[in-house]
Amino acid sequence: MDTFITLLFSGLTLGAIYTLVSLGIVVLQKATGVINAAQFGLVALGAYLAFWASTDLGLPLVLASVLAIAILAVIGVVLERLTYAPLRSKPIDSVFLATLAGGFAMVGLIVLWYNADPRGLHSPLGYGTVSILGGTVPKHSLLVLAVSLLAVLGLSLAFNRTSFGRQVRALAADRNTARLYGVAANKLSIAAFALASAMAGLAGVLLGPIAALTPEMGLAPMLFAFGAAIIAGFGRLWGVVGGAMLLGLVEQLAAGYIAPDFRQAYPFVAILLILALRPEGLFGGESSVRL
Amino acid sequence: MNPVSVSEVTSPSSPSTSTSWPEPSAGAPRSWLQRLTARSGLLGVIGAAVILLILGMWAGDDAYNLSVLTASLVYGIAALGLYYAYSVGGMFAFGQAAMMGLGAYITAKVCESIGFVGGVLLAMVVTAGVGALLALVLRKAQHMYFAVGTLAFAELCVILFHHWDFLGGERSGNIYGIPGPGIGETELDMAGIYWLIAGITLAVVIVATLVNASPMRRSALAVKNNPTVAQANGIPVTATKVRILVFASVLGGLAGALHAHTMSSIAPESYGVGVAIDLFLMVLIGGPGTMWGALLGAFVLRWLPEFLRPIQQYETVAYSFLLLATIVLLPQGILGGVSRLFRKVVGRRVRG
Repeated sequence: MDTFITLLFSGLTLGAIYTLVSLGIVVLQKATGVINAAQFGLVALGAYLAFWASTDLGLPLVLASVLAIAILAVIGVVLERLTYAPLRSKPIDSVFLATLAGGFAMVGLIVLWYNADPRGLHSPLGYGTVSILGGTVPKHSLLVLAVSLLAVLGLSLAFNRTSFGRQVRALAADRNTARLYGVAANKLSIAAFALASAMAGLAGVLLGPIAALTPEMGLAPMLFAFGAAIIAGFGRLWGVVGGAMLLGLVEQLAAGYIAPDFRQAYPFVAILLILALRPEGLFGGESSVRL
Repeated sequence: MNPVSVSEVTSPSSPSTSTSWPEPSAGAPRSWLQRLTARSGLLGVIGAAVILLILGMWAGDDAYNLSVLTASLVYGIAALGLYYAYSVGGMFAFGQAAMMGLGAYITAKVCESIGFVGGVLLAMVVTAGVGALLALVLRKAQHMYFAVGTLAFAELCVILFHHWDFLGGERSGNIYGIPGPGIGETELDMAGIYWLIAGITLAVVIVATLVNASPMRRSALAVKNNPTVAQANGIPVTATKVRILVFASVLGGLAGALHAHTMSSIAPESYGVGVAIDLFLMVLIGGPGTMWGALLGAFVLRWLPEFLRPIQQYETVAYSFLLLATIVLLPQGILGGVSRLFRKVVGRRVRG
């Protein structure tokens, strides 16, 4: 039981991080129709920027994280100008490849900046643990869960209560009609790229203390995030949360009870199974635009 | 006229940008000999043979040039496979590098007991099976979903290679001292290896030419452009996808096995998602509209590090921006650009 609680919390923690990455992908897909495969580079960049700000600049960790996330939002705008704006009329496949190339460009830049050796990012709460129902849970896990919950609630509010959210939903429902009614699709795409990148940065900052910092650290989380988005049918926000949590739990519980060496293999198997059996997702079709 | 009017590269904005490589006309069924000797096919095969001969003679005994040429051909075979999956089949196959890895690891495991030829053949058989399985698993997954599925598959394969000791192989998946290609006891020198790989490449080109003239390619293009219409016209959609992905995977497995034997050591990192992107870059930069584009792209990308040597540490960044630039500026690749230029110079030819 104790092991189960420990695994449960580490699974939920990873799930929360995958949720952030995945929501970035889904928000961008709603606003622009493209799937951003640069997300893995942004996750790594977020973690490295926080590492840089906390060590080289000597900022406190929270401030360093905020700075990293802010820089990431700016990088998101650059990414939009570089990979999306020139390709707006191109097939979606091209944009996917272009963003993937953009992600690898970031990986290459990180290697140039801090070579490929693994590094460690500290948590603002340190390495302490608390005991919950007999299981050992790192304090950082609780921080991840709390921050992610706030982010998801904030996003939910932004989508359902603000003008930005209404416009993005209109674009997702019918792009051409929305533009005819005066939705500024180009401005919104910049905003959406900035938001998605900032969320990837947040995910990277939170992932840093759990996994070692390597240039390709974001690749598996991004693929799991794709998986979560597929489970949710690129639809509702809470579907994405559920999908991401499911994959995080699959990863940790299977690693704990079957074979730890293949920890990251289990979510991939789950993704392939879902694509084989219910490619339209577990929570209804792609048509739902409420998010 | 073709029964289905198809453009190889889907671009909804301008359907007329399809490259103008002569399509064989669909008439009465022809024998394989007739298909091969059809004008374009035979010209291509002879041209490929001449180019391989010239390259081999140019390289002479220079070990360095020979090794880069050999690597170009090996990657060219894998990229050719990706061309069939992506350009012909419309499948966003990020698993091609993993197929190479499967081929490499299989032959590295078995070649001690069944030799080079046996290892390569087994690699092709296994990757055929895995390709069929992958196509069946992902039969309902379209576009991005297929991409995500193959990315998951690719990462699974890399994890498998890392834990190769789990299957009775070496720890951490780094394998050294794989014997060079050769039949029986004969050890080939660098030039010999080049000529062997060149011969295999030529055989692959001949098979590809036959495939291009066969209904398989036309069915695949029809399925790619509109699965519903293809199905209504009696083309089995899933079977066509399976066939194309099996063909692509076999070429990947063959390339991987040759890669293992020519490099003599392999590591999981050589077959990751980054390499899959490189393969895409080869197909796109050469020209996604024709099978020759994949081969040309492999040569371009294998020789590029020579010119990038002063800025070697920027390689990943340079490649990424090259891919970006190719997609934005040269969507039809080098060959597409050349053929457009050619048409402009020669003037408007009436094509039937």
